[in-house]
Amino acid sequence: MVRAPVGLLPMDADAVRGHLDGMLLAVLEDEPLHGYGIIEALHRRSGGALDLPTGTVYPALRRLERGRWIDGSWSTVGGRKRRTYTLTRAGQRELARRRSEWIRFSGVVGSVLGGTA
Amino acid sequence: MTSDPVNATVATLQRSLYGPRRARQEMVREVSDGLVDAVESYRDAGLAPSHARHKAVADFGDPGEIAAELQAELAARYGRRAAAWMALAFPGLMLLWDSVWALGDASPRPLSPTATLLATTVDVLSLTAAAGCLLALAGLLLGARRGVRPGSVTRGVGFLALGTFVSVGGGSVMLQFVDDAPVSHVYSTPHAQAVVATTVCVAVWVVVSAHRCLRLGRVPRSRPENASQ
Repeated sequence: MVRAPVGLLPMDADAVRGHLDGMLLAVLEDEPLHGYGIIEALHRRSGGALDLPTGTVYPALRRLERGRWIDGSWSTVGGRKRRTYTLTRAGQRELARRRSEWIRFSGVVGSVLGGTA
Repeated sequence: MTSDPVNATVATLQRSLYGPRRARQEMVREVSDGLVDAVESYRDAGLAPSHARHKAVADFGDPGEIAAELQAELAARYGRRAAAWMALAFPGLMLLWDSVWALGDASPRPLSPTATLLATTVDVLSLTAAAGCLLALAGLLLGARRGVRPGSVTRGVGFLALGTFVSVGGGSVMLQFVDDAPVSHVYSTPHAQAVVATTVCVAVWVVVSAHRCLRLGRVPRSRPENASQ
C-alpha cells in the first residue's frame, strides 16, 4: 500500500503527482510488473512516504503505454491473468532524461533551500 | 447496490466508463485485480477481511475521479482508431471516384471548367482531411508524452469528420449536376454503382464515428458515482 508508516510523514499527493510518470518508469526499470506490483514497488522504494491514491496509477500506466514508453500485455502471474507492463527503449531513454533533469533540479533547489551561503 | 466496498468501487467504474467495450472491460478488470491484490496484501498483514476490503478501497481514492482519467484514455483509443481509418478512407474514396471518371463510366465528354474546379476542390478537401486525421493521430500518440488532452484531440477528429462529410459530400453531390450530365448515366455501370454503395457505407460510418468521437471526447474532470453508462 502507498501509505506512510507510523512516524514517517506522507508526501503531498499533488506534489507527488507531478513526478508520477517518472517514478512509474523507474520501478519498471528492473523488471516487468503488474498494476499492484507497481504500487507495491512505489511503496517499498519510497519507504511508505508516498501518499497517493492507488487508483491514479492505472490511468497513468495507460497514458505511458499510449506514449510508447511502456508496453502492456496480459499474462499469467501466480496462476492469475494480469496486465503486465514492460519498459520500452523509448521509456528507458525518457527515464534517463528525467533522472538527469531531477538530479539537476534537486541540486539547484537543494543548494538554495539548504541555507548555505 | 452492493454493500461490499470493493464490488461497489468496481461497479462505479463499470457504470461510469463508456466507449470501446473490450478496452473498457480490460481497464475495469485490471483495476479489479489490483483491488483484490490489495485486499490480499492487507489480509496477509493480519487485518480482518472486512477491514482489509475497506482499507483497500480507501487507498484507491475517488472512483469517480479515476473513472474520468480512464475515460480520457478510452477517448484517446477510439480517436486514434477513427483518425487512422479516416486517413485511409478519405483519399481511398477519392481514388475510387477518380477510377469511375478514368474508366469513362461517369461522363462521355470532357468536364467543364466549373466541374473541374469543383472536382479539384473536393479532392483537395479530402486530402486535407486525411492530413488532419494523421495530425490528430500523431497528437494522440505523441501527445501522451507532452500532456496533450486526448479528449480535445478526439473531439477534433469528430468535428473534422463532420466537416469533411458536409463539404466533400456536398461538393460531390453538386458535381453530379453542375455539368448538366444526366445522373442516370453516372450510375449506369456496375463499377459506378459499387463505388456509390461504398461511398454511402463509408459516409454512414464517418457520421457514426464522428458522433462517437464528439461524445467520448467530452471527458468530465470527474464523474459522479451514480453516473449512468
